[in-house]
Amino acid sequence: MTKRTIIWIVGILFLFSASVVSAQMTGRQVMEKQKERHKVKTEIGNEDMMLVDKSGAKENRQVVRYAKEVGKDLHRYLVVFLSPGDIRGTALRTWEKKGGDNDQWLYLPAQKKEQRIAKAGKKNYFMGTDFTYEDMEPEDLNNFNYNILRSEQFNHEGKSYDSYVIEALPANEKKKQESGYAKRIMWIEKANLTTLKTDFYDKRNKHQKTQLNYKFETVSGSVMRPKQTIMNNMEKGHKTVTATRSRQVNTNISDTTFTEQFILSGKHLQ
Amino acid sequence: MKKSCLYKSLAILLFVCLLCPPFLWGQTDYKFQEDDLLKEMDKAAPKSSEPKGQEDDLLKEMDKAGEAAPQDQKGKEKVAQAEAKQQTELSKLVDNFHGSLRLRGMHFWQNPPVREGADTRNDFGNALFKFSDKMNYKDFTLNVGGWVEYGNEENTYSGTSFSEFWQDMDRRRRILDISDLYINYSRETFNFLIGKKTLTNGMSTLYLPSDRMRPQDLNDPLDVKDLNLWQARMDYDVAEATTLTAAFLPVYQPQKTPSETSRWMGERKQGDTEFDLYDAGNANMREDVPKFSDTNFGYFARFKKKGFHGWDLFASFYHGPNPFYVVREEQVAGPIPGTTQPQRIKEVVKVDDYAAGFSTTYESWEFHGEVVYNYSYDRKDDDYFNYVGGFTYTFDDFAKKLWLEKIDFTLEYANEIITRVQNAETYVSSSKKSRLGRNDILSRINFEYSDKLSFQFVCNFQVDQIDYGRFQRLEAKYKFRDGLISKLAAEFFGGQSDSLYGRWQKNDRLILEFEYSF
Repeated sequence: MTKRTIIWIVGILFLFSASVVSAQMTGRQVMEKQKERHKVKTEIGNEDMMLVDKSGAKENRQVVRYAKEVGKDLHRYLVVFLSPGDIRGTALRTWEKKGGDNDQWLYLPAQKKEQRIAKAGKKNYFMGTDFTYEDMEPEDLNNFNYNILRSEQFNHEGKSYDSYVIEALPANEKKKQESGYAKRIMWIEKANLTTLKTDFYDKRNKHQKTQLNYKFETVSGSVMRPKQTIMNNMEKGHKTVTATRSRQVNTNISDTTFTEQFILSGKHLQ
Repeated sequence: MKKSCLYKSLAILLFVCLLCPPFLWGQTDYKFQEDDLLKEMDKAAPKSSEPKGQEDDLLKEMDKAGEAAPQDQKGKEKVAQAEAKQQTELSKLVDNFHGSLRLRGMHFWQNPPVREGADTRNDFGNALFKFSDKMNYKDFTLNVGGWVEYGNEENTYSGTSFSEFWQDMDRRRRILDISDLYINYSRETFNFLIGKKTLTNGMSTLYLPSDRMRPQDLNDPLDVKDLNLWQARMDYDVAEATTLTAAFLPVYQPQKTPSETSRWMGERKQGDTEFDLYDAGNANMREDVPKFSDTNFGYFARFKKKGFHGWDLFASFYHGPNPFYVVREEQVAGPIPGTTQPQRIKEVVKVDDYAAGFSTTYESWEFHGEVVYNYSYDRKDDDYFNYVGGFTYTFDDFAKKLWLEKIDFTLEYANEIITRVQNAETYVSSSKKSRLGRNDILSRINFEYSDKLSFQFVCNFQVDQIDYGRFQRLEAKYKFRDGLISKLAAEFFGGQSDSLYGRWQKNDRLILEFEYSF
């Protein structure tokens, strides 16, 4: 009788502990859920961009971004600058590749041709913004280890959000060398799995920049996107503010949008 | 007692004076540290991310800026409807109008070689206004682009004559030129273009041997302008990122060369049998430029595949007039009746160009290469391979140690292999000296300090033992504000006196330019 009771107690404790473990998601699972929840087939966003330097001088830019999922977790991206005049028509194409380096091409109108970019260049800032080429690439979950550091109440836009604080570390030596960051720390709210804030740490583990996302809105089903973003680069004393003016998701975008021919025929500026 | 009290008071005062300042300093230090620590704590473990102060202002400013823009998140239709209501054809033309104004000044610090009639001034300037516009109707787009330019260089500008609109035979640069005039018909899988536009080819970075269908205005050989070609062209996407291009080029457009009085002509070299585009010694030669006729049409075809397992590849074919002249000699009637004298004629001969090239990336490197094989009909010119290979390496971590954003280093080597020399009756000189990339090392280093300030060094060393020459350019570029850029550059030339760069050895110059784009 006593033996049976002990077995029952051990069994119940085992089941209970197992259920507790399953309730505690890993960092990787949170990221997978986030990716799944906010995934769209296609997206076109028109953005205004403001660059603010140390002295407070401002530059305004207009950008249009295209994105399309062409296979399972395989995306293509196109970013086009519409203004100011000196960079009008500049375009960056990215093709995500599984198990290899992504293909990236930069089109500069003065050269009238595209140039393939090596990955070392991806640590560099894109066209004077505080976003590097790496920041503009899709998040490949296999390239990072995600650890939940803690849960906390995060005050954002006058509200308190129950959030995961997740650390993203390069998963392997190759990625460690390629990446411009030693780590990133993300504040992801639990209810909607939106990233409210990301801190970027440089190779010396120094806090380099912070990205804050504001005014989240539902764009389709459970998919949410921020309307405004600030990337504050403490290292350079420089900020990039973006505001989305219009966004279309899950509309029909042709695969040809992500080709060189789309740019050379001038369609990217139409 | 009083004295001792006074001494005590003075001693206490001295003690206070001696000890307190360090104490106060220490306190101040402590306060600073505390402040820094608090700030750092704030940064390290922020519990709040309210947009405060400047950031809040920035977000509000972005909000205001966006009020004028069409607000729509629900679908394409609303945007299209709103635009259709708001935009008339005229307002579309105004919206699509873009341009730039450039003011450029140059100072040469050596006098040009002494030559009869040569322009001996050392200071030049010009103003250039470039413009472009377009109009859409369904799948059709009409594109127009050109420039207006004027400067104080002698015999360089030719007014606004449109008499040679189809084939510009004037050596001089037009003050007003419509360089782009074409209609695009675009569908999902193809793009059809008819009109005048540049036709680029190749995947190399600094020197592109296959980029030959691109006549240029070389009045200032280092500030060239594309003259563009009349063409009917179809770009057809046969598969993913795989494009087949076929172009018909009915009009041969000759390059424009500097005036005979220009310092870019260098010194005359009498009795030289070879010549090149800039050879003033042959200025009395007649030119035989292919006119508009079915025998002078050009045809171009290209296969291009991008992103093929990390490789970009192309192969192309061109049949038509060669951009490089050859020289033939004819006997013409002399000044005395019954006598003859030799007359040299610059001739454009017909060639086939077969080209192929690639670009790929590995780790931090971008590699590229191109080769073109030039076959000349009736052996009127040399048959040869012209090739280039090179790489671009981007330094980032190293650049940051030098307080730079990045350093891009590009290095290329180009050469040619002649497989069959010119051998046709009455033809006395091949295009050899006009051709580029014959044993050349080319390099470019970009130093980017910030988005606003960057430096560039470009060089081309012709390492040929006979035609050796060198060109170096140092440039500083500064961005004042949106669209407004200034450049300060110095150019240096040297080498054997009739090589491409050697003939300009007295043309070292300083250039200052301001350009505003809108």
